[in-house]
Amino acid sequence: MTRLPPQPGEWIDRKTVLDFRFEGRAYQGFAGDSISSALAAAGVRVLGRSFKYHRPRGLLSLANHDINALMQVARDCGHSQPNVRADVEPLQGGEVASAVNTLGGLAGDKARFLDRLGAFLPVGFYYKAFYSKRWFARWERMFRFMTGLGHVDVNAPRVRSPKRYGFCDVLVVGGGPSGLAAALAAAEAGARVVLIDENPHLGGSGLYALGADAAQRVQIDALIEEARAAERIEVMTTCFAAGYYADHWVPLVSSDRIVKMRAGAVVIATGAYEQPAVFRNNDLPGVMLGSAAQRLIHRYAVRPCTRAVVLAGNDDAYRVARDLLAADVAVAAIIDLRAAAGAAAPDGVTVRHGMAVVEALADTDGLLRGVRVACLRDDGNWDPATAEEIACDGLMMSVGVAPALALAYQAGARMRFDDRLQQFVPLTLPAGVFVCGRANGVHTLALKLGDGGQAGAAAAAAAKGIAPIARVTMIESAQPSHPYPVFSHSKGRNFVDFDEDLQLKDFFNAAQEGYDNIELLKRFSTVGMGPSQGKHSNMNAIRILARIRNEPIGKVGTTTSRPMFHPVPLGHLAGRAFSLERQTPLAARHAALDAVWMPAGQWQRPEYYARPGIARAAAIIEEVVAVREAAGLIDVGTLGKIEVYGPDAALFLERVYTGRFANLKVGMTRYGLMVDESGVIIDDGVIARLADEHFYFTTTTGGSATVYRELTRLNTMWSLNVGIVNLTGHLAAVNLAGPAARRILKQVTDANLSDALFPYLGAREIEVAGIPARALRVGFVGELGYEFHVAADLAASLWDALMSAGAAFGLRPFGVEAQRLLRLEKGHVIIGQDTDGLTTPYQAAMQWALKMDKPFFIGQRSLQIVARQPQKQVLVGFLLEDDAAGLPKECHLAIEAGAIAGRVTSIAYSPTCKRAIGLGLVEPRLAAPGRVFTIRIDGAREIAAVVTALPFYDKDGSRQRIDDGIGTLEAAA
Amino acid sequence: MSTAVIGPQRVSALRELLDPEVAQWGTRNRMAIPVRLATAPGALPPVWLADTSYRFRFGFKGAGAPDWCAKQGLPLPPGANRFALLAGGGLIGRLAFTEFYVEHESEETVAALVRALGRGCQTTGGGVYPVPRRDAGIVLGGALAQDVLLQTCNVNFAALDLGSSPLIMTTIVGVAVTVFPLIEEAGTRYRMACDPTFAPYLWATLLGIARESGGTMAML
Repeated sequence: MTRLPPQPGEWIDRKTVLDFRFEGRAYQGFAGDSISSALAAAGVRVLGRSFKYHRPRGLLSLANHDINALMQVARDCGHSQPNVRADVEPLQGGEVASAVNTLGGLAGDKARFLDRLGAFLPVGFYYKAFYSKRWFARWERMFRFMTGLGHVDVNAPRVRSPKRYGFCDVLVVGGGPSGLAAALAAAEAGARVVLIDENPHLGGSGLYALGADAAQRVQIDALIEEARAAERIEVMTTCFAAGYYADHWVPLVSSDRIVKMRAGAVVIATGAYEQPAVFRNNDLPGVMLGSAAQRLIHRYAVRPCTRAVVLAGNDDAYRVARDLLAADVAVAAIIDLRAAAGAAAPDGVTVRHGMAVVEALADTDGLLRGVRVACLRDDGNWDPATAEEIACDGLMMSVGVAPALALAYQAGARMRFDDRLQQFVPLTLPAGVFVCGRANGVHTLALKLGDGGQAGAAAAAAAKGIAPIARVTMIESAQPSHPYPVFSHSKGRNFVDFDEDLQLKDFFNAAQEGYDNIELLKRFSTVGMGPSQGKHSNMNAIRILARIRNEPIGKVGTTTSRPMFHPVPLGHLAGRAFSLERQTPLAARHAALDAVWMPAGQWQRPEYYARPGIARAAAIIEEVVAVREAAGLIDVGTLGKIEVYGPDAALFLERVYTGRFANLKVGMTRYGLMVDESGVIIDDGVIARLADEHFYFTTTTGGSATVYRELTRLNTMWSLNVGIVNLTGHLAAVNLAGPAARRILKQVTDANLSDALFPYLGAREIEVAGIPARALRVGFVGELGYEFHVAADLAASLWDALMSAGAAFGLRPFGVEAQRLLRLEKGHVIIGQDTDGLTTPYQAAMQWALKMDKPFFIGQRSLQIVARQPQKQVLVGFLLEDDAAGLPKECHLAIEAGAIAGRVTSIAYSPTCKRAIGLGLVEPRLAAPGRVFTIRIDGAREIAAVVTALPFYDKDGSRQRIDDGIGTLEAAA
Repeated sequence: MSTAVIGPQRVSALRELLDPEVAQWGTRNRMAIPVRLATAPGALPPVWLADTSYRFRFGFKGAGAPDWCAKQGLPLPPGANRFALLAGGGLIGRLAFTEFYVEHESEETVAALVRALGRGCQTTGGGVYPVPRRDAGIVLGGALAQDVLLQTCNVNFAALDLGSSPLIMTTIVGVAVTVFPLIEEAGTRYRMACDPTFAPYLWATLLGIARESGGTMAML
């Protein structure tokens, strides 16, 4: 192959010369070249190795589907990218490229011996290999070693691929003749149109399938000019539609991003894939599709070969021959499968009708040196007696096409097989989806333009919601596809699927083994499962299966078409990777105190506060000790915060919580447990009654949104007179806990804090440091404690005031880890940690929270049933018998008599108890206090734990009720 | 919860993110606001973001909310997902047929509504209940504001009839946001309100995207 003199409309910029390397050798190309075209221009005919047999492969389609030209490409940054499609990848200069599927390089591929082992690699051998357990591991190792394409460079930098939403009235997919006509017609009808094409230039086949017809180029160029100039048409090139999703939602993939396009209507003008013929050695470098040769000539100004044979199954082949002749290629012959041609032969070219190429012949380098042709008999098979050889270095196949209907299938279109056209065409289309051009079975240029125009006008009408425009069916006289361009050979190597190295015999063998349904055949043989997803193999596979089953093609059907249409980089799919993150209003205060952060759902929370020279565990213990001996302040703003107003507020809460709230006094709080319809615990919190018809309550950190949604849903059903408000983000909350809590609080409030006027479990609306606050006297960590809920924008002022007031009392901020340990000492459960998706209140030993005598609450009926059944597990507290033996982790298993008998849900060393303490769900037979059970820890070691009554700390609860006398005199007065 | 017109210092949820950008702080509505940026743009940036969390906000909902709204002398947006401007620099948005959002420059205006509603009341139309709100406020503006929205939100803002004062409840970079598009001389501004705990993430993400187009933080 060599570079031709400048061609009209060529894509390359000859002024910009680019250097690159391939397989260790230096080459040059031009800007506008693809890697494949630049290599072709440099005379490189072998671009890669086949997947299974490692046969040398060259250009096949040059149409974005050349599976055997996948490359590993490194650019200036030094990082390489696997599986770059060289036939479409623009040459930028500086590339260091290599073929992906070799062991030791393209020329010296050590795996090329596999081509001689075909007899041992029959269809389905992947599956059969795994029949034997004995050999399973060996086969697995071998497959993992041999398969997979390319290497992921794990050090490659993360490239941000911003996504974008797009909107238009009409999306036209495909910028060939019919797509151009559709876009212009839609714009003419007043629609805002987006016209996309996967190539860097519009025009499609209109600018390469020329047949040396200069007038056609002029005509298409004029359409492109018109589209480019149209105000209502936005053109996006080097951009493909990766799939079709509901309501005309189409992801448009460009080199740097995905545009999520929402269209009013979609015109699918995606054309057709030219299909290869099947004959022996049809994969030799030098054998290519006729359209690939035309692309080489007209787009990249590359002469495909010096002496060509054209294999014809349609009239396109004759246009290929004319283009070859114009590119100074000698055309040795047109071998026409048909008994008679529809098109006139180019001057001086021999046409051999009723013949087939039955074998491609290789030279000593494995490249095409000629073809063997033979006459076809009436039954379609070839006659060996008539075989003869024709020398050539290029064989161009023009035997048929398969419509590119992937998007239409995904949109829900139904297809029928048109026997005359020998292709599938749409039978019914969903509303707002239109197909035109070759995809619609229209192949002649004039008809394509007419079909596209109609589709565009109809799409514009659909997008605007006006009356549908009837389309006139285009009567296509051309017969673009030969019904069976498939020729058997006793020596095989007649490939149907170039991705997976599937030969003709593989299909017969698969069918013989029972895989004679198109979907089963696909799975068993892997046809169409390679990177090109069957774009060059599925149609032939269907034809072959139809022949095997002796059924019409329409009855065989097609396989399912799924997105993505082309490979999409994972980085594109990830996009900017928006990852929601929440901060409480006190985040800056925590950061200033050297908080070490931990994720809690969407939130970032202080795990603990780092202190110079103090390890994590010691810092957490210090925080625990501060709370037990003085006071601590923790940000609990992540709790869900919901309020319920209205005459039916109490009734509403009676229904959604297991406890009783109708009798809750104003100014008091009560623990609330929420279960689902099956009686499983889903949430808990503290419910405060602020007024007769006003309740305020907390939920778990992770539960606020779901609880609020569920409450809203329930009230929609129940229609009670309540208003439900989610204040989670709008209020902040902190908990001041410890024996000094009241004394600290006294510094910043005028409210009476006496035990009489603000008792344990009381709720008051007071001012703290001048800030209106809801104060709840609660004791989650087992000490005298106050929880303050204030407006989010005032939280920092509250925090500062409390920290300042508490400084003299030894107040310390404490984090989540200290809080977890403190509540564990108190035996308080954390929903979701000490319970799971099956835990009922009976299993969690929380029967005390159930008021089963209430008329109704969600889950009540299930719990009535659960109560009568033996429990499978029970939550217990335990102490480790020997702390030095090692500390279990949460989820370590309890083992009894060699069987799993439970698991640890919480575990920590308690500085207060001076022991390792924990909670666990265990079988009821292990739950009696004093019972010893075994926990299996890391390293398969087993340690003993003894069941202990809860809580571990302050069993009579006196710490939460400390009355230090503050405010007592004032209260009495 | 009572509302004090004169009270403690408020802090914007975006305060820490703004800090590196601000050369001088002032106070507005008891909240620190930037009065001079560290790097003042020479020309109007193509896209900009400003923090308007200093404004006061309040909500109310319930079957009687439209009645109560009218009784307070507030303009009633004609339908759900519409808003109306209030005298003195505020707006009232109708988030649903029976849920309203008020945002105002004046603390007293909002406090008066809070006082009037208390813990809620019953009207002839049904109950009305307060929705205490401390939304973070972010305004997105500039010629490329729509470009930023297209990268972060699946609503086609270009197709809106801004003359009908639509409000959009949507998600932007995953955050639930209420957007009030306002037509102004310099172009359309998108006034947003969101849960303040998501605001730092929303601000940082939007500003990061805006900066790719030469955008900056701005003052309002």
